[in-house]
Amino acid sequence: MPADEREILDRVRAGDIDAVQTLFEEHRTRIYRVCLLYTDSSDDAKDVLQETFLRAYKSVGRFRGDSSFTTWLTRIAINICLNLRRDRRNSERLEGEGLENTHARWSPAQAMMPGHPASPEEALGVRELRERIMAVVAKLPPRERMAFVLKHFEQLKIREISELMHISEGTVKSFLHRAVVTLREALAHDGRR
Amino acid sequence: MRDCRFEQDFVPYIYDDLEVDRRAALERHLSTCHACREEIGSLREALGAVDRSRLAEMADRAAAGLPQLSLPEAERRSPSAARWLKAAAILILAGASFVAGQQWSRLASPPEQAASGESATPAPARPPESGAGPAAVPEHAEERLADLAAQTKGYLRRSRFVLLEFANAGAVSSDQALRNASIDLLRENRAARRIAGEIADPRLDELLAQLETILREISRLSDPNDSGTVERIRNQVNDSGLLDQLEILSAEPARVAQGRGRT
Repeated sequence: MPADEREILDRVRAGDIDAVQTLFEEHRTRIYRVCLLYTDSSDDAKDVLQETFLRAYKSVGRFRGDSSFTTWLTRIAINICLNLRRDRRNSERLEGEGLENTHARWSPAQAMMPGHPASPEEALGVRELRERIMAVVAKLPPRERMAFVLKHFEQLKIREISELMHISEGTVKSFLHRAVVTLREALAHDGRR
Repeated sequence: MRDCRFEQDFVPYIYDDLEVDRRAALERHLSTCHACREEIGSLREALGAVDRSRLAEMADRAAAGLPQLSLPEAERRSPSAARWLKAAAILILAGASFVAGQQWSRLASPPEQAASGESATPAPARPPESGAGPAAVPEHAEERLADLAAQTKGYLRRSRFVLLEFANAGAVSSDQALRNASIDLLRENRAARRIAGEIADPRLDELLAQLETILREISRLSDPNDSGTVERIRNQVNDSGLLDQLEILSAEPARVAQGRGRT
């Protein structure tokens, strides 16, 4: 663990508020991005972000530094994300409702900022492509989806994903392969329609 | 290409994340296998479509639009444990309430307005779920009841997370972290039952007693290979309806407390 990270963690354990804020600021953007891409819901991403930091604050005293703090924190977020999906599946079974009916989907088109208006390319197809890809990714099984998000968007090494998700590197490869094949087939299917 | 023994290496190869020896072996194979070269080409094209969709860029923009947070000045003084925990809760809730309260289209607005921990947190600051103790609870009766209910709700939600993990995951019985979490929840259970008594909710108290039994069993699991015991507890969790009750009651206490507070 880098010396500066160790120092910040020591300060957090000692009750230094500024150190808490430093940690929060340093990690929340990345954690939020992973959650958003995984859950594809701003509400869910917000919930996971909050729960991640609550858990981290609560158990930082037990963090031994065997892995980096980033890895430890990301692992907490991943577990919450995966549990969230399980929760939702269970509640869907109970309520007999579809995923799309129970929570608001993230619409990146709405995230276009003032000052960043949609370009002609955006208008002509990128947005549509993005919606299609999001729809496919949203249907991947949770662990496949998480592996894909961590690999493609966070650009983590397979070894790192394996460590984060507590699965073998072979399983990560298998998840990634299935995810990309699913994506390819869905895009091809859409293209034929 | 069908059932090629290198198939699982195709995607890592595209990402340039393959061990040197496997990469060399795959490239030797590709030099003679047209079908596998085509397969890799089409997988690469699918990933290219993801890049062209600029999905990552959109997520980056959304994440970058989160404002800086600042703690209320009062919380910066005297970092005693209770203050630290309370400030941590405020910090987290400030961020969460910002995200919850904003539309995506407004993410790029200047962050200063939402950056203040106090202004972004209209509700009373909730003490941390780990239980900062009675000192952190507001003295006003209605607020106090609502606060107690919120603490209990958080406890039920976290308990449900742990039980779900236990009930659904494969080799989770060997996970020391899960047992540690159960031990922590067990410690909090007593405080939660006191709260159940205070807000006079016998149904909650009964659920907490049931939860205590299960958590005690999980926390006592010393042999990760004791699949019989793991299976028995797992069945107990699944058959008891505990997960459903936790879900229902984790949404309910706040309403109960509010109702009581008004009378």
